[in-house]
Amino acid sequence: MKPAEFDYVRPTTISGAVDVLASEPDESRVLAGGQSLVPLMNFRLAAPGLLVDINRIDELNHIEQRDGGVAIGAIARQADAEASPIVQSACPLVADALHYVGHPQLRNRGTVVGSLAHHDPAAELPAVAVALNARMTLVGPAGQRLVDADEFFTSHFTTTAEADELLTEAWFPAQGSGVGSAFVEIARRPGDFAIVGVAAVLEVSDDTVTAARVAVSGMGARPIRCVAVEATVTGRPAVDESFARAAAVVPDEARLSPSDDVHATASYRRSVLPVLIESAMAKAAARAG
Amino acid sequence: MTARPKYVGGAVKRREDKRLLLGRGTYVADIQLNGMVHMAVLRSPLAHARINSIDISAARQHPGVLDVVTFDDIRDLVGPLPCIDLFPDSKQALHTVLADSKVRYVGEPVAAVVADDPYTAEDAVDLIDVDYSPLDPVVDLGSALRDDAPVLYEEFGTNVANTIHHEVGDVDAAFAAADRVFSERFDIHRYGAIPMETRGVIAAAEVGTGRVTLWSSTQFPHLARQFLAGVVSLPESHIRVIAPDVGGGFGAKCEFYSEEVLAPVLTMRLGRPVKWIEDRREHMLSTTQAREQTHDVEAAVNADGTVTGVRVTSYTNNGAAMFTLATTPASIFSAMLRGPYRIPNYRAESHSVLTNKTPLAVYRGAGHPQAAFVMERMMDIIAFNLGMDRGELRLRNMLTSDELPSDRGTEIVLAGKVEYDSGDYPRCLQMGLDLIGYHEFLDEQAAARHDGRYVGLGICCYVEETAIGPYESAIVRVDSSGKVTVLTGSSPHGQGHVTTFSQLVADEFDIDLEDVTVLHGDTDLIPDGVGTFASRSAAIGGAAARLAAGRVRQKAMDLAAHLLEVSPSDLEWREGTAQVIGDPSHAMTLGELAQAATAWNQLPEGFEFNLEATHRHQAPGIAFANATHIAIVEVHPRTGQVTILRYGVVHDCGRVINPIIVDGQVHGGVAQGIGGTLLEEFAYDETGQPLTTSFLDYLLPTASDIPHIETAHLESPTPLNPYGFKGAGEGGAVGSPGAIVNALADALAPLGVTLTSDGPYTPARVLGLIQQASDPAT
Amino acid sequence: MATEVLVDVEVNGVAHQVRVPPRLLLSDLLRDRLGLTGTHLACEQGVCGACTVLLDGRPVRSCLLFGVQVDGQQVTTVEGLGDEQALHPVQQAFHDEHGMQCGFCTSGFLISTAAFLEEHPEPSDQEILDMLGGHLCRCTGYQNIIAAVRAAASRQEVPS
Repeated sequence: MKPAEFDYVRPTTISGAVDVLASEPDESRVLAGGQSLVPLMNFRLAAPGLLVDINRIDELNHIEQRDGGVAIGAIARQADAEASPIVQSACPLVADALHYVGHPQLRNRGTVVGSLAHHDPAAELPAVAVALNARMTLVGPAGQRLVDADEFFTSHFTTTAEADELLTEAWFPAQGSGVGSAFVEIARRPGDFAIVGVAAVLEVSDDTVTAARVAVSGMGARPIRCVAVEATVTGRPAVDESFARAAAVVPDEARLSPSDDVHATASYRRSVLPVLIESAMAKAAARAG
Repeated sequence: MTARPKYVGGAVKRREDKRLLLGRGTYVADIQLNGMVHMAVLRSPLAHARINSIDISAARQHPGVLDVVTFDDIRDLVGPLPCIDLFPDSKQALHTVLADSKVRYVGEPVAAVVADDPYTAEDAVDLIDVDYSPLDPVVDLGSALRDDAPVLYEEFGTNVANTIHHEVGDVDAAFAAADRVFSERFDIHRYGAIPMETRGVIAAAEVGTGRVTLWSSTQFPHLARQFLAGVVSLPESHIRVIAPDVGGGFGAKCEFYSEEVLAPVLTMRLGRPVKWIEDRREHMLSTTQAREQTHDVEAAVNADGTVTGVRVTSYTNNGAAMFTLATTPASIFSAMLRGPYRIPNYRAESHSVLTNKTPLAVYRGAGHPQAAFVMERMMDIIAFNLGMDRGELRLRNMLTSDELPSDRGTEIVLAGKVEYDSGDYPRCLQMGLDLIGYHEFLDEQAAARHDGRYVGLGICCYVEETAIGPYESAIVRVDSSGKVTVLTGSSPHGQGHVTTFSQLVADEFDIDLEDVTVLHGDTDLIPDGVGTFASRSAAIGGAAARLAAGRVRQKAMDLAAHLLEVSPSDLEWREGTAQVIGDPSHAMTLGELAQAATAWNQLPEGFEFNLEATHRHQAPGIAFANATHIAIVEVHPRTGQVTILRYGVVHDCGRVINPIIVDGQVHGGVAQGIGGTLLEEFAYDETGQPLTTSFLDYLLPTASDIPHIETAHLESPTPLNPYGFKGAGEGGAVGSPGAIVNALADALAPLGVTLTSDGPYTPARVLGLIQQASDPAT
Repeated sequence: MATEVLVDVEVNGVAHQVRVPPRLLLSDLLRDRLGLTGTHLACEQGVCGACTVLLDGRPVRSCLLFGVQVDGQQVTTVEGLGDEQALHPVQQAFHDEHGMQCGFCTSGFLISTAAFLEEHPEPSDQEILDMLGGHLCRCTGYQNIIAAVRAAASRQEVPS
């Protein structure tokens, strides 16, 4: 399990990276954390002719408050985001979910943005990005564009990023006060990809849920907002009964399309999703305010 | 002997550790030789196909490639890989070194490439072009047995490679007279050893003599030497096999593989050392897998719970070839099914069946985990149906220690007659029930059920063959400084034999542990031996070492008597010294005696030179260890997740040499049983494509998956071993599947769920069972 | 044929300069080029943890890094933790608690545990399990490994 040959470049600027991607859009792949890409290369399931190592581009190495949210640069490590006081206070859902991503040793190298760019539909961070309506910054030869999380994730391992574009940053809006969030998942073992994962964000005021965003992973080719669940819980008292009633409308979520795989059946996923939604909402509500 | 504390029985810390802790171990992959080149193997992507042609031209021409071979290139040089547990009328469905015109499983070696480095070798493998004509595969047991099933080996006309029969007492009469008959079909799934170190070999040939040295991550270097000699028609004296540090085996490495032949053949062709290190993907495809069986079992039971008879028809899915130890799982299952219970009437028919899966062989416990699982599930089913307590039912049927030795009327292939030598099964069970707090649990369970929680307790009692023969060898020598060297045919791969054997020999000589050196794993150093598998090393190898040491001590005493001019009865042995009783200043140390014993000296008639002895200890019979495992689990009714709340083991491996090491073996075995029952499966699709080919699909247990394991020991020494030792290495994996599944069944009993599969009980599967029990329409 | 790249890397305090093809994994650079075979390969997909080394002090999978990536950085392998005269306290604890059997997975555990205890001198049970989750062992059943981590933690001097 050794990788196939490739050429290697290590630009030091964003524009340098984009130039390379633009010159070899079919053969080039971006190497950030490598925790998803390199296993694929070792298995020879991926064999890019040109690896663009962005790990020395200083402009990509930030976790900072900006524009009422937190901007996480492309090479900021998952472990650093998880430990960051900025992330923990402004976007606690991100820090929460990171705890479930792999293991500490993988998070030391894996990147938040890389996980979003890779978009494994069983991964935790894409669902978090959708739950918080994060915004991606893509830089290509034509310049920079911003894409909301709702649009960014298109299908398994596919996003709206073009082959000649670099995802330079993910910006997460601050959750704000009166908002509680939680990430829960079922996995075969701690640290495994989620069989089903739920990211819930509830805004609570006067003990009433005034807004809800519930995004799930593992229920289709991309993170799915459970709009029927959100509608059912919005305006209700922030109590367990409301969460149970909201979870009960999961069968009405038309966009869910789970599959069978070696870890769980589609039927199992449908069965446990309401349990996780209930649990996530209860936790989120408890943390609001 | 003196008041010095003995090592045997003590919690002695391991001597092996320092080197390994410092990262200075030498596993096969760590070895570099001058001029070494690297082999890679092309493996079949199809489960069943004819090979029409193989085009190696592009691979041969690739820069950095030295050689490419297919079966045609080596056809005249090699025989098939041996199977050593075939019966006279078995179908000799042997694995060829490379595929000969047909492939029978995904992963089967088809060609081998040698290149300057492993990366290039892998590049070249991708350049080999094979034209296959796919054939219909058979994957599961049911399909393989059908009359119209595709046949893997056309010459046999059947996929049934072997059938074993056992007949004890009068089974038909027992069933005719029974008050109740219970019938169940049990399914055992496929999982495996998965040591952390994959396989690997280096082969080098000596210029001029052509003598081949093979380094291999193996559990049995001497048998590997014998097999290699047979397969390539070289005399054994021309072969040296070295097992360096080996990173776990668990039975997957007491098998003889193609690569252990290919590397020597290629080194002889090329005149350069050839190295091959298996990668994990290859491991999941081509290293032997284990367990998979189905069993149709019937039990004849009287109203009072006495099980008077058992009948079983059993099938083992042996995969695509009869590998080195191929009939053993079927043999052990059917010979040992009745476990600790009397059950005087028994009939078993146990078939080994070929399919287009990776070959199946032995893995920690071999057929015992399946036997314990099936018998213990039956006992719980019987108890439940008769309204009897599970412990009471077991006690009623168990052989007592007064009834031992007990000839069970069966035998195990290669090992011999099943005659239980010693043990106190009822006491072991009672200790287990006490350890776990059985009656307190029943109260807790009632309360938990009232609260809507699903908790359950499962018991698994088993008896296990250990310490099998035919023999193990040891040479013990003393050097002029009085230090002792032990050469053993045992071949440890994590079990701590250096420590345990040092304990045995140090006690024999009454010297410091540090004064003993234990060497193993090199067939040039240790002229003959058998190896480490089937829980035999401490008992047989240890006995050999200690007996050899005893002989050396006797020689030393005799020489001392001669040199001190006293009669042997005037001497005693104390602290490595032969001393005149009552006059300790009149003494000779081991070192002095060793110096005096060499051929530099004149010795009287009848004295052999050197303080050295060789002993081969033949096991006079199988020593049977036993244990009771008890698990308490909780099932989350809405997600199907299973948590093991408590786990206890009462373990009897006869006299214990080192309790830390025994407990470590138990912990490791239990963890593998938990993995097998809740997480691990080698899954295949209907075309024979493996679906679990990496650690993302084949899930090994992590620290969070294993509960704290509480252990207690019972010691029923075996009369078959001069020191009472039985084997301890496998039991943890034997009792755990039965304990956990019985606990799951107990937890889910209120829902009317019956369990007859050994897993894996994934959350999806458990939730499915719960949903189906609550609403049979689902 | 990809152009080889010059890499300057400090390993266990010793500066090395090697010329390597880009695809040479860091694990193979350490093992085969530098002869530091204490780092073991058991999966080459980042799951098992046997290949874990410290990169600038942080535990990472050496099988998921290319040698060319660590130019200018510092790597610590198990060989850099302790020596014959003085075992690292974590190494000592693994010995004292019988936390190893075949030893193949052990190097990775030692590296992760050593770094972990520097960050978490008084770890909770859950923190220990989270850290250990990144490592597979097939021999010990983990019980004695957990005991070893606790023993190493309790022996550390707690800053007052």
